[in-house]
Amino acid sequence: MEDFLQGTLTLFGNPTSVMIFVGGLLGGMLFGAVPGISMLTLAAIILPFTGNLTASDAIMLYSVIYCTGVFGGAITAILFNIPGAPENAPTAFDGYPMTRKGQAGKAVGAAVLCSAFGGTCSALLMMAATATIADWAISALGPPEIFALVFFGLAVASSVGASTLWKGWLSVLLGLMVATVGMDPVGGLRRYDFGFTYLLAGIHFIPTILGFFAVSEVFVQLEKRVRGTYEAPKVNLDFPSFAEFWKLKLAVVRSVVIGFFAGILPGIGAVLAAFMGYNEAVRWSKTPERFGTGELEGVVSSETANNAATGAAMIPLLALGLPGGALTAMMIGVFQIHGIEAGPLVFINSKDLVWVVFSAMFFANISIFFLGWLQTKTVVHLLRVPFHFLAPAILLFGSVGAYAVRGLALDVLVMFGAGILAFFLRRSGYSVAGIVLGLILGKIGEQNFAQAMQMVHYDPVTFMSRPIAALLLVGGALTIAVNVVKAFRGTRVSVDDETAEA
Amino acid sequence: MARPTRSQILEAAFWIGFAALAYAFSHTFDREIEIYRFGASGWPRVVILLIAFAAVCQIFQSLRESRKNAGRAVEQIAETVPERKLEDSLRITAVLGLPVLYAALLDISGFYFTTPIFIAAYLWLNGERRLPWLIGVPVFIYTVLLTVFTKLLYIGLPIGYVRPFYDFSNWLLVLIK
Repeated sequence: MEDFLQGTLTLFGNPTSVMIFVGGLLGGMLFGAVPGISMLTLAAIILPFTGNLTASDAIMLYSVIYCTGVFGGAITAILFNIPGAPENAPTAFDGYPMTRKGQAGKAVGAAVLCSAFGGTCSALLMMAATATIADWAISALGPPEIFALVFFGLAVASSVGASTLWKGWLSVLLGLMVATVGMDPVGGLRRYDFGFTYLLAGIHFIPTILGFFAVSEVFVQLEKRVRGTYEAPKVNLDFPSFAEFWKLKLAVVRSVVIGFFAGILPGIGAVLAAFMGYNEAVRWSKTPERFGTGELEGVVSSETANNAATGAAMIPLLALGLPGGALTAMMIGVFQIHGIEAGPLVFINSKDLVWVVFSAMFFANISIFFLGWLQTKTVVHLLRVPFHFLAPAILLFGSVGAYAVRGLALDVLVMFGAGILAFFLRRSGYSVAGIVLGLILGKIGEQNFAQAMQMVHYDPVTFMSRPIAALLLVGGALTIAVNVVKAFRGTRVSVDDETAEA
Repeated sequence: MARPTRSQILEAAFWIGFAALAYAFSHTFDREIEIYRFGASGWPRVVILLIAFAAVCQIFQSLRESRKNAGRAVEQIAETVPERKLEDSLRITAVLGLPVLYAALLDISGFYFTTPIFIAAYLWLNGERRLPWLIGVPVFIYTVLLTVFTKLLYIGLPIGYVRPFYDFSNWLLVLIK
């Protein structure tokens, strides 16, 4: 507690630090909200200038950008079906249908509250147990566990959003197949590139996600306009009531735990946290068929989980010097610019710096609540603009986002191609969410499977002797078995058009 | 068992065909990796096998549902199927196709020249016929895009490689910055 107070005093006692803190808050939110131009873009732009800041200000700035950047993309995901970043994609599954039903205020309000809550819990856990958790996580969680986690996630994802179980599986498998394009993760052999250099690096997920969500949604709504069945979403600024939140307390706690542990895993972080949080909400729900049609619990689960991953990602970074993702890798760079070595010694040699970062992350998450609330009261009014005016704007923001990733016009074509494909797949009852999940988790899954197999010398018994991996694999297999039995008995509830659209 | 509909046959054919093609192409990288027993083709082939399996299961489920629904009155089905006009279908095709054309032109004529024309054309295609809106909305969106991405964020956007468009883009960039 004393350390925390000291860190807070250092943070807010210096006007320059306060300005950097506020700049990080606003910058993270803005860059997080614009598709294609993520918080990573901002972090990369400012990296060369961090040498002019003190070490604690520079690291603090990055940690604040991380917290607010993860939240920023939720607003556009909910209002326009445009996830600002992959970790906001599951938020769109239910957030956007809520907007269509006239519950945008409620969805954004839930995202604001849950992001702030998940992030704050994560920051508190990070302060309390960084060293202990880092030791445990690094020894207990390896490639077999990460592969098992991916398998478990995919098993649950197949039951979300499609009109039949098999269409759900075909969606996930299509995503996995697309993820195999490019170089294989072990030997670097070229796969399905057909001689095109562009395909060598694989199909980038930012243009694909923009196409699957934003572009296909524009096409679906414009088709409705052409056929005369379009209904404008009603603008509603009501926040969720306390009673509604209280009903979802278990989902929130579950997502905090999932997000926190997913955040610790190197290379996984907030993306898997959000998907796992959402999937678990579906799995535990008594009415799983309602997910994808505008279920508040879907928004709550994914937004709590992705922000809960932010504090956790600092644990391996600060305690062991292991970056969990691109932003934390840049933070290692900031440490190096200032001649500090991230790792266990940082707690001894730069204790003040560590506690300034912890305090900044805590207050950044608290600030999400207030800034998010203001954002909700203003941004939701965009829904009053006629859709045919918004449509070209959405397509163009998406185009710039897709182009900005690698500076390739071909990525814009890929985005529109993915949009057209998703437009037809949605009409046939396939799940866009499943495809995106397969695409994002495919590479992580394959890479960790290969590493796991090498680790256990291709022996399935050794693989299953790792308790966490075994538990997750059995859990995934049971989920698949139960769903298959339901499908053959015909007890799966047929979803309506709205569900299929998600 | 009920006869499959044309769309069910097409859907099944698509997935089986996709799996077959993907399998055939997997031979191009079916090489051993010294440190990894399953090679580069192991993972994709398992996914392909699962796609084929899920497609077959989907066909069976569709047929079972068709059999269940076979008793529905033809009139009832006819009522639920909306009438599709040729003009509407052509407009939807244009709604899908115009953005692809825009993306294809980005490298040639550049973002700065093509974008305002695209916005106006897309508005017109979506039923907007009022001249002030056809001019005002593109100007507004274009200004916002240029301000945010070019002026504030310095994002390099395509300037086109064909002469008059290239010159126009450079002239505009100098003007903005």
